[in-house]
Amino acid sequence: MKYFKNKFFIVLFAAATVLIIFTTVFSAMGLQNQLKNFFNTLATPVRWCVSEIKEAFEGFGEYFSDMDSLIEENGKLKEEIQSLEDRLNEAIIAEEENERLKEYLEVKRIYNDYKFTDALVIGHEAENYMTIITLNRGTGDGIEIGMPVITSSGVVGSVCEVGYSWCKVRTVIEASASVGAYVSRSGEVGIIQGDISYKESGLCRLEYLDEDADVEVGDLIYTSGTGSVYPRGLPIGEVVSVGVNEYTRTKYAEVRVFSELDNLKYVMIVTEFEIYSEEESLTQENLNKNGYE
Amino acid sequence: MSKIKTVSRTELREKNKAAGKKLIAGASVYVIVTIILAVIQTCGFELFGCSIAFILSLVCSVGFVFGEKEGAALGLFGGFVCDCLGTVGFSILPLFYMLCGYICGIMIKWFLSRNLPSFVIYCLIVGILREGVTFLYYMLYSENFGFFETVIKVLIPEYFAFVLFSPLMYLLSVLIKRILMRNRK
Repeated sequence: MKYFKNKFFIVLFAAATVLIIFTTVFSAMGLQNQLKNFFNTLATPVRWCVSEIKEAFEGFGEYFSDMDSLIEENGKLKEEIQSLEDRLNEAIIAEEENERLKEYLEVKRIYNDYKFTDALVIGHEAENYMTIITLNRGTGDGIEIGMPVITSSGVVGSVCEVGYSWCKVRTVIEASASVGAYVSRSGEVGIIQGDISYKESGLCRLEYLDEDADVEVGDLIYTSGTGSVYPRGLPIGEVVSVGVNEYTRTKYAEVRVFSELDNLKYVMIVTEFEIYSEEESLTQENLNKNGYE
Repeated sequence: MSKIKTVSRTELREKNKAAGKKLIAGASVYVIVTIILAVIQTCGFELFGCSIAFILSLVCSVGFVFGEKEGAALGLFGGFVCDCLGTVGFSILPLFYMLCGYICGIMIKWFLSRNLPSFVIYCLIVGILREGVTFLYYMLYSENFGFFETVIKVLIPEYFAFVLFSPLMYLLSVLIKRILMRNRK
């Protein structure tokens, strides 16, 4: 107990007691606020500095405390983005489906006496630069070699090879393709042939026209039905230039096909069509033209 | 025969002067630190939703590191400053802090060794006493005093906040002591 009986402790204890009594009396006299006010005024600059530091620390702390909510929000946003992306993909698919059905309806409207099977382009022949395309229909769908393939714009080509669930289509601009055609304005008859030099430009040639044949730039070319591969009156393309072969002395015309062969997605395979007599075909041709226009 | 070392009066004066300088330097440092910590304590620095008793930690650490006299003196001053800057009325804080600082110094001499774990043990005990004082405060000044609510929402968080921060004050006091000792050499 010697530690509590020494002078220092007794003095300090007395001082503390006096301080308590002193402050209590001050408080009872209502002078408490003045004393507090004095000390608080002295502490104001320090308090200001401390509050600034505190704010900085709080900001730093908030960064970490907000981290959890930010991570949670980030997760929610990612989910939302994923959901929106899914919806966007669905919308794109629906749009493509819609486009395909519109195309199908359009073709059905124009060629209402033909029977069709719709098909999706699933490949292009690499070595032949988009002049032979592969479709997702085959013998299982009733597809046979020689069936014409069209879009609402016009002729694409004809089936040249077929498997159970696929078929290949030789387009009209393929070098080995030959399609009987005529000029709608003048009735001049020729043969549409592909040319290796035209493949990249998407052109083909209307050959074997007479030297004095009436063909002009802008004339529309249709299938003539010769050879029974294509029905008569399917639009092929438009004449972009006319020339004369120096050796054979025959006229030819460069034709830009209507079908966008490099952007094909959906096509129609004509599985059945009527072969009309010349008179019938003219009537039918007019009907088709009206439908096309 | 043992030799008695004689010290001249000038030498003694020089020694006393140096000791006085050290005392003044130490006291000045602690007065400034106490005021700053008291302001921090009353500025809304919180842990577990409660203000941290920096001053009590400081007083205990000074008693622990420097001795009971220094602890008691700082306790008296610190308690007074806390009372002056606090929002509640005047209290027994100067006496309580003084006793804490004093007993802390004595504990070292009685049975505690001067190291951080011993200090933490001491703070665990002081913290309980301090929460007793806080409990009295609440009984006196809180209008809607609820026992369990006070214990759960105030006393327990305040206790742990105090205990968690006390090692920091101990290290601060050790650092200040080392600086003062170096200056003396």
